[in-house]
Amino acid sequence: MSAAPHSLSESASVMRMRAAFEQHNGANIPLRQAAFATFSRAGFPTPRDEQWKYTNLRRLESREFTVSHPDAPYTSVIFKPANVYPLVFIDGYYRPELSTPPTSSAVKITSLLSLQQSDPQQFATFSDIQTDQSSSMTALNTALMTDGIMIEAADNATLDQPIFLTFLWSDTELNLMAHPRIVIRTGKHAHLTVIQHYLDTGSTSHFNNSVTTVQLAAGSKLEHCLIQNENNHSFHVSQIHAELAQDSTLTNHHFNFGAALARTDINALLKGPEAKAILNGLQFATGHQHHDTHLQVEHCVPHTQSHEDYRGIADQRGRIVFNGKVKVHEKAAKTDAQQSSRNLLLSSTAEIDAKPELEIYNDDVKCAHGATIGQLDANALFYLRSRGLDEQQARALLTHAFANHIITQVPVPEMRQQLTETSHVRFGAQLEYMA
Amino acid sequence: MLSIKDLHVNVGDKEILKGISLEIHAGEVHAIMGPNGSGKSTLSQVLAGRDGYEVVSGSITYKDQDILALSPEERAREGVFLALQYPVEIPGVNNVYLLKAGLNAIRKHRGLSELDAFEFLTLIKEKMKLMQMDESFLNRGVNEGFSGGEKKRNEILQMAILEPSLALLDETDSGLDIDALKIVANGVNSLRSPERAILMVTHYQRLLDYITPDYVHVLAGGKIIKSGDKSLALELEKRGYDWLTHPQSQKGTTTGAIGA
Ligand SMILES: Nc1ncnc2c1ncn2[C@@H]1O[C@H](COP(=O)(O)OP(=O)(O)O)[C@@H](O)[C@H]1O
Ligand SMILES: [Mg+2]
Repeated sequence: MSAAPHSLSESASVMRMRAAFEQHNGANIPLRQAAFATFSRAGFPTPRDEQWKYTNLRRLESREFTVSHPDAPYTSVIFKPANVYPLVFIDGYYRPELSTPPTSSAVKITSLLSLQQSDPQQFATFSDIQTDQSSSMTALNTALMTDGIMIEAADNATLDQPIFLTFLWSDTELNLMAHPRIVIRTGKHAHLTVIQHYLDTGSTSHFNNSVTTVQLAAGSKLEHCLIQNENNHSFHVSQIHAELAQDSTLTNHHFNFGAALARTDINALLKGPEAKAILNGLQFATGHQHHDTHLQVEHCVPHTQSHEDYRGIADQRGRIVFNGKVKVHEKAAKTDAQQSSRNLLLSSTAEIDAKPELEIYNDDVKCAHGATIGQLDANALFYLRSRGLDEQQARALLTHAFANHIITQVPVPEMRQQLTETSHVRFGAQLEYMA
Repeated sequence: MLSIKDLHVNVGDKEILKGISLEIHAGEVHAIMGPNGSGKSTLSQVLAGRDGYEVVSGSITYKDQDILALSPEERAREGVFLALQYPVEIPGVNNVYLLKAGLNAIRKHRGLSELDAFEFLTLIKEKMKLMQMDESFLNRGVNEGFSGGEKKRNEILQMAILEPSLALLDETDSGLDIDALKIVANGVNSLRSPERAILMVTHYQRLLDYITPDYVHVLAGGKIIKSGDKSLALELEKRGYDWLTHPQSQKGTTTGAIGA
């Protein structure tokens, strides 16, 4: 059995993905074949699609990326904050020998690739959450999935430390692509903190197409960080699809620092009363970087809440896109949806598009949104300079202060420290003068 | 130390300062008083290098150099300090770090070694005691959530640490209760020295009970319409500004320049 018939209209870039798929060790699995067919029909998203209006993947499509392989040698030091359970991925493959999963039996960690081999039926459930129709990039991930991790917390489970997933690249010169998949499922009243950290300190162009699915059972809480710090030649597409049951809370802290082009989609379905999604984020684009984040929160039932607090900073020729869609279904009375998008435009050649998008089918709701794009506060800039700081230093300080509002909300101190350092390096500031 | 000659300043198309001349020598304390909107803050901002003001004509010479050619940070490093009428809140920028960065930039400019964290902390704690400020202020954002009075005290704390040659105090007394006023005045007085000059802008004569000025100037409508000594302030206290700004009494005004 083969994947969907090769369509004549298939573009060169889709054909390259097909070639990659056909060599892939999952090519004979029906689930993956169906996903590839979905991808091949839809192709890569284009600006004709409203949701991709400002983000063109042409540059990504024109490149050739090689499928990565497991067990690539990795010799560099692995950054990990203190007091976490590190789970290490190299080129999209989970590396148990570099990882320290939690020992608690209440939280089960399974490699998806090993599951594909040992228990195909259980494996097939990883894509239980309905996502493939919504995004051709998710379909591509399902088809070409390199490896992934399933994190399952039993009812009432808690962990003493966060789970730290770090996605690194081996030091080959090859332009690799990886399609990692993260599945997080919490039992009732379980509490978890999971950090997904994408880091590339090299300069070889890579393509990371990452998908995370989150299913929160009643009363559970997930504190989640998505930190993208790929190198500035790379492409990064990542998605989070979350479903929240009654009384559950998802808090996400999202950072787009790296990559030439990064696109993030965070979709949250609030399916039970008192479900709450808190989405905080920071995007910083400089040089020729392009960062695009699309949020979509659906309030499906009464008494649900969403809070979005996003900040964007664009310098030089950087480009920031933020789109925050909130959909309130007809029966979702007493919805409380707050959205704030604040943006700093630091140069005349940078560009920011920030847009709230409200679709509200119920009158009994509290929805507020605000999007601002501004410059650094001239009063503050003068104040710092009048105390002796030079202009560049004053600008860096104020830019960092603006970003810091998002960074300080990250619940893991060591991670906050790391984010602060990353932001200093990227803002060109002197470390010791920061708050 | 500071010589202002026939200074005309516009904001947009509007002339705000209409020919100010003022001489300030080292060791002197000058007070500028005047009704709201007369241009007092404009003068101090122009001295500190705030952009948005157009110097149409006239000159400002500070320590024998044309100060108008210098950026705000260069002026600060040369010893000019402005305590703002409305200190800015900068959440996310730590109070201590701002001061340390400022002090070290100034020290570097003067060819002095930079203070390390320990030396700096010792210094700041001593100055905070002088200003009777709680150490919890140290780790807050610059002026973040400070009350009006706390912000003013913080300005004087900054001044005490940066040790300027020319201190410009713009309504540092406004919004202070009597105890806070005494603390602020004490901070300013501790800085008085033969090498320093102080120019304080105030609305009320009250501050001058605690910081005795050598000269008092009245600024109204963008001009210095009268200069005198401390007794002028007392007269203003008694009679208000009307007798000076009212057309009938304007005939008798003197020129602004004091000392030569
Ligand atoms: N940035 C500005 N833009 C427009 N007008 C200004 C600006 N700054 C000051 N002014 C005007 O200049 C005059 C003097 O203001 P200011 O120097 O603040 O007076 P004072 O400090 O004596 O109360 C006022 O009429 C004020 O409205
Ligand atoms: Mg004023």
